[in-house]
Amino acid sequence: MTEKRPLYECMEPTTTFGFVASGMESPTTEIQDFDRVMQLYWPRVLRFVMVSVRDRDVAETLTQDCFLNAYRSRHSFRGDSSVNTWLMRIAVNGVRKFFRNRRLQFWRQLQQSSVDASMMNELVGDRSISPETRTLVSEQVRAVWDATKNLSERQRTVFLLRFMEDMNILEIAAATGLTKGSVNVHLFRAVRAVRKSMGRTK
Amino acid sequence: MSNHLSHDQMSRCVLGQASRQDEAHGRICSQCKAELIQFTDAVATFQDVMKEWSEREAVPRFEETPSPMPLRRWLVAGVAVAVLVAIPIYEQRERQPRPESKANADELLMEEVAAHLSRPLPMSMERVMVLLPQVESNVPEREEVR
Repeated sequence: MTEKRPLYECMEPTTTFGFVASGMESPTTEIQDFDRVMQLYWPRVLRFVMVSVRDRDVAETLTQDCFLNAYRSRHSFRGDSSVNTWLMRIAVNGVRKFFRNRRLQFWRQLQQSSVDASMMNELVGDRSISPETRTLVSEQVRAVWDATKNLSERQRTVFLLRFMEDMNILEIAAATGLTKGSVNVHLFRAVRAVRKSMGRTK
Repeated sequence: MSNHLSHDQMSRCVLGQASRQDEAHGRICSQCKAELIQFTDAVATFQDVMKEWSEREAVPRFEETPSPMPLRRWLVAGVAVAVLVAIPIYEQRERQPRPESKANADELLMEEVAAHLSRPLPMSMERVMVLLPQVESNVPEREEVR
C-alpha cells in the first residue's frame, strides 16, 4: 500500500510570495483550473480557519465562503502573489469578519468552553500509535491548542500562518495586509505568549 | 544572575532571530535546549495533527452548475420585451376607430343626409319659413277684416 503524501509536501517555494505545486504553471494560469485549486488548497484553508474559530461547522462554512469569494473574483487575480497567499488573505478576512460579528460573541464563548474536549479526539484521530504516544501527542496538541486560544486575533493568525502553514514573513505580510515589521512584532509576542502558556500547563 | 536564556531570548531563538551567542547557548545548555525542543516538538506535532486532520476532511467537488438566475433573467427579459411590444400596439389600436363606432358614425351621417334631403324647403328658405306661421296667422285675420 502506498503511503499517501500530504499535498503540502509536493509544494515548493516560489519567487512570488507563497508556494505552488511542483511543475505547476504561473498563479494566473493555476487559478483557471478551480477544481484543482480546491483540491490543493482546501485543507490548508480549512485547518487555518478551524484553529482560528475552533468550531468545525463554522470552519467549513467560512472555508466555503472563502472559495466562493475566490471563485467569484478569480478574474481579478493578477498573480502578484501565489494562489496560496491570495486564498489565505481571503480566509484571514473571513475570520476577521466572523470575529467582528458581535451578535455571535456569546455563542462563541459558549462553544470555546464546551467543544474543545471532543474536538481534541477528532483532531488526533485514530492513529495507529501506542496509547502512551497517543497521550503524549494529545497533550502536545492540547497545549498548543489552548495556548493559541488566548492569543489576540492578529497574533493567532500570524502564529498559525508561520508555524502551521510554514509561510515566511513576506508571505504572512501579504496574506494579512500587515507590514513586515508588524508581522515580526506580532509573531514575537505570539511565541512569547504561547511559550508562557505552555510553561504554565506543563 | 542566571546564565540561561531569558524568555524573550528563547522566543527569538524559536523565530531564528537570536544572536549567535544565544543560539550557541541554546545548543550547548541542556536546560535551555530541552525547553526549546519542548516548544518546537509541541508545535511540530500540532502542525502534523492539523495537517492530517485537514487531509482527512473531504474536499467538496467544485462543479459549476448553472444557477437558476439566468432562467429568471430570461423570464424577466421576455416579460419586459412583451410589455414594450404590447404598449405601442395597444396605443395604435386605441387610436384607430373601432368597427362598431365606425358603423354607428356612418348610420348617423346617413340619417343626417336623409334628414337634409327630406326637408320640405331648401336651406336658404328655412329662415323665411320660420317666420311663415306668423305670416299665415296674420293673413286670415286681415282677410277677416276685409
